[in-house]
Amino acid sequence: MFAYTLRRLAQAVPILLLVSLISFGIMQLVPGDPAAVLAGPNATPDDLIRLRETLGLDKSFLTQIMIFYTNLFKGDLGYSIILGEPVLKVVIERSPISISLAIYSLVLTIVLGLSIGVVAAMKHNRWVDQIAMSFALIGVSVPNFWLGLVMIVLFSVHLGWLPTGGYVPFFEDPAGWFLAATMPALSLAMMQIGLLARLTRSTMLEVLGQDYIRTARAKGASEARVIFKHAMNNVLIPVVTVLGMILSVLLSGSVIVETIFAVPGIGALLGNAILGRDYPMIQGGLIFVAAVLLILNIVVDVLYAWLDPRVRVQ
Amino acid sequence: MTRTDPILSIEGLSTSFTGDEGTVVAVDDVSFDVNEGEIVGLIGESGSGKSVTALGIIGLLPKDTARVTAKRIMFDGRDLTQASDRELRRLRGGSIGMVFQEPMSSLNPVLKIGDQLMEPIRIHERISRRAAFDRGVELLAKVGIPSPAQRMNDYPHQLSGGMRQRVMIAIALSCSPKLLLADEPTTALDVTIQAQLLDLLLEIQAETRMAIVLITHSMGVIAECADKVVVMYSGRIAEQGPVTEIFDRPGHPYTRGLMQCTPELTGNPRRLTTIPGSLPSLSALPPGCRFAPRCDLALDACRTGRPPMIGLGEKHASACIRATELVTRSMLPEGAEA
Repeated sequence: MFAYTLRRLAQAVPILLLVSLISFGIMQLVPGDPAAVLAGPNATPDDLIRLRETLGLDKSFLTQIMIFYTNLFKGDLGYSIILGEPVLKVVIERSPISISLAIYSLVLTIVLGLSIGVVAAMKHNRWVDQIAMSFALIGVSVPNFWLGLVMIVLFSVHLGWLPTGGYVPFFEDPAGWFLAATMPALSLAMMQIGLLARLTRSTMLEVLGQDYIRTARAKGASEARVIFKHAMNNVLIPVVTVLGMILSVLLSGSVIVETIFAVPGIGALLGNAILGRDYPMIQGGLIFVAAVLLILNIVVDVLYAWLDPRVRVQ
Repeated sequence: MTRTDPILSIEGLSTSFTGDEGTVVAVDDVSFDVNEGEIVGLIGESGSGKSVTALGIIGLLPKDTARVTAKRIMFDGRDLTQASDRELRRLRGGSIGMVFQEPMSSLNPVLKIGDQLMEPIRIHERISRRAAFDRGVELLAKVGIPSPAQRMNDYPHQLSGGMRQRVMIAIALSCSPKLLLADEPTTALDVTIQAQLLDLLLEIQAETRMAIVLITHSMGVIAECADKVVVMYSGRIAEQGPVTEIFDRPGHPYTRGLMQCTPELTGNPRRLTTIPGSLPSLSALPPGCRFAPRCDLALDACRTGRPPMIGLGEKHASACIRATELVTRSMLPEGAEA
């Protein structure tokens, strides 16, 4: 198990190198002059030349890549052109916001998705199943920005139950965080809840038809025991596999949702950076998001091996 | 010879399945007894209703599609048709053990052998984990698994098919059942392993005197193990009786067909005969005797009305209107009926 974890960590290194190379390449490939953007429409050619020098844009490709990697290993991701602050500092400031939102969404997804799926499978072809699956279908088909706007109109404007957005740090005011984060988390999670509920239902139905479930019943196991001890572990194997993907969607999908709910997270940060051609910010954000996703996927893989003994032997 | 009540007595068991294409009757009015310490062979082609009969007895058929009805199913002095789900659950894995056909898929892939083996013990008896573990090791040793204490921590994929089926037998035996329902326990295994496992079952049976309902489609297995035979065809009992009676004086053309399908190693080698045709579809059953369309002895009378069970001797009966004739003819040298 330990060796497996180490091996998965080692496999992450080349991937991270590739991602950093791609993020470096962005600066070289995308049209548009960052210096011109930063200097504004009134800048003189001399201003541009000076700015390119300070940004290192005038140096050769090889020198640039050398500087990029030297700085990267020192933990220096450069200065954000728009904010004028170190990229790493901004990313570290903003990431807890997005990560806490993603975790909240993930918890909602797992709790609601799994339980809706399990209940639907247990009441297969009954009205409970049909209602659950209609809900799942709505969840899958409704776009999150539309859902977010509708929720704002309903819960903030008409009912006044929840704030329209913003962000309250969790450790300062947990209740406030909860109120502010619920609508963004729900609109982020809705589609994933629908997907997970459908996956859980179909997997559960398949597992319940397996011979080992009949064996469990033949041993005199109660229905609860059959579902939670014998079926659930097997259902969780494919579920955990998609959890990695779900998490990456929750993290990267937050660009739109953070914008709608005015949440100052990584998503909103990257959105603005892209619009403003803030290349160092885009690069840094990309590397950061990739690193987080890699780590999460390793966690998922290790969890998968822990759940399924057949994977462990390899 | 002392007479006791049978441990299992089934009267008029029927099972139907409801699906998208309507309702089909898979088991139709089946009755037989199993005495204490007796091995009853339940034989028939695939789809003849053997497994459905066994699963129906202990309520293991899917509740949303299957409907089981019976006049009475007496087990150990109580009527299972009147038993609640809870009471049935207490019997399953306790007084009634089950072994299934597919050792490869009958064990849960994500649970350790030990946990799966200790589960019925812990469900049915108030016993510590430690004591259940020790009992598990004992059981594994009893079914012939080498280094049983280590195997307790293995997962099913680490064992071969034969070993897994031994584990299944250990699970079924864990609470010293009075009745073992063995649903083709050796069919999926290769021949040498089949023989080993049958010997193991017979050995344990001789020691514990539990009753066994042995479902199989092999006449050879029946000849080797069973005391009594119930031959099923298309959801009905074709013939039943003591094993020697059935082999010496088969009273149903289907039983004879099954016997002629089995190769003999002694005597003159002969070409194996097959029974022409196949089981009728449950949704398009022929009227009258269900075997009639495949039977070369069928008369016009066979095609109307369900054939009654005709007694052919003590506890030997056949659902063939020509049974008496057949029994006398089977005394003639082979080939005389052609």
